[in-house]
Amino acid sequence: MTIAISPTTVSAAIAALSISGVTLKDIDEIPESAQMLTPLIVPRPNDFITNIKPEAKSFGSNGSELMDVSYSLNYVFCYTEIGSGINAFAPYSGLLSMLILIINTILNNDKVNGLVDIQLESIGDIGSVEDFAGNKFWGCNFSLRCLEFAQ
Amino acid sequence: MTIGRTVNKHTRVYADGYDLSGNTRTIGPLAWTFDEGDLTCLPDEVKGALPGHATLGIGTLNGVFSNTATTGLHTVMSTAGVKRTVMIPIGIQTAPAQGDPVYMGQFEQSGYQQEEAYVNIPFALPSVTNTTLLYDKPWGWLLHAKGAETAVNTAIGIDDIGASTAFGGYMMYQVFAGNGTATIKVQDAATNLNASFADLSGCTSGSINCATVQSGIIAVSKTATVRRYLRWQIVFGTATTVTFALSFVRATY
Repeated sequence: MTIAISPTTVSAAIAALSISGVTLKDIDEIPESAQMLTPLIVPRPNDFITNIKPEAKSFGSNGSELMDVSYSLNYVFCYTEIGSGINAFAPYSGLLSMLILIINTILNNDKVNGLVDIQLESIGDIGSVEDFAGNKFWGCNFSLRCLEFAQ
Repeated sequence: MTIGRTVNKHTRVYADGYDLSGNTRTIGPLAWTFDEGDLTCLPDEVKGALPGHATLGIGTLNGVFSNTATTGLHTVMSTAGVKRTVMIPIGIQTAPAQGDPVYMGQFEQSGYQQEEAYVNIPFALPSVTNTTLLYDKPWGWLLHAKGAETAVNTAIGIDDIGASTAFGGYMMYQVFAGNGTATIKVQDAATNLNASFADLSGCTSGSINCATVQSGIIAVSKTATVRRYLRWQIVFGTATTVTFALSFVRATY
């Protein structure tokens, strides 16, 4: 037996979550720009997988030991372009409502394909975020903490 | 039933017909140890022992203080000094399912300690009224995961140890909800076919009123033959739906 983790399987399962009104993208679907695609949740390519923590749970070596591996998957949520709406803060209420919907969905789906456990790890400041083309959107960054039994 | 490791969140705690899982943070250790009768004789080079009496116990339940009507931990468990019928199924990477391991028994609740938002509920030794005092084995298998049934069971069962035994065993039922009377029982079979299953003699709740929460532990003779395959069964009286969990310990010596 060998140790193996599968964050790509996990990413695909997360992308398959159903959140009303929001499009979730997998790692092979990252758009160059979020314009015209919002509301959108997309992996952050600069730091999608972080804080990988292997933890041996038994004796063994060369891949024979029982091992837990936890890691963080980082996403950006783009709600709508800044400047949308009839005034500067018109989208803000809708942003929070949709963010709460996203949080509730994730908290109610703590087991996705490829994982033993998934938890909402953190949510960054809610406000201005950028897509990969530098366009500014209302939204936030958030992280999911994943646990796999790698062996 | 899944095979492999698991995490704590898939453990459930049922007591006296109540599902305490949603208020429970930890429980344990789930103990099964034996006294050691020292039988070392003068010529022996090393000390040796035989197992004496077994000690069983479920340690302490640490949970969230909740006085939610009917189901809250404070509402259900705030009286100490009473016997509790406790079933602890352990789901493997998902909620407990048929064939998953279960620790169970009737234990004396020896206290109730509330501190800030939490409570500690220690359990002492098995109750002297516990019919499982016939048996020193607390680990069994889940035959029916908590859920509602509206029809008799025609499915196949589980193959827990791969062989028939002749040392008896005991069942535990936890009835969480229902709308009338029903009888819950264990069936066994030599071959894992619906038509082969028959009642395991004496392993039945008898007719119980499932409109109120119920729990019980039923032991069969210590020399009873328990055939290889096991499954749950229900006979409806006036009830048309019953939500319950059922587990069975097969004695192997």
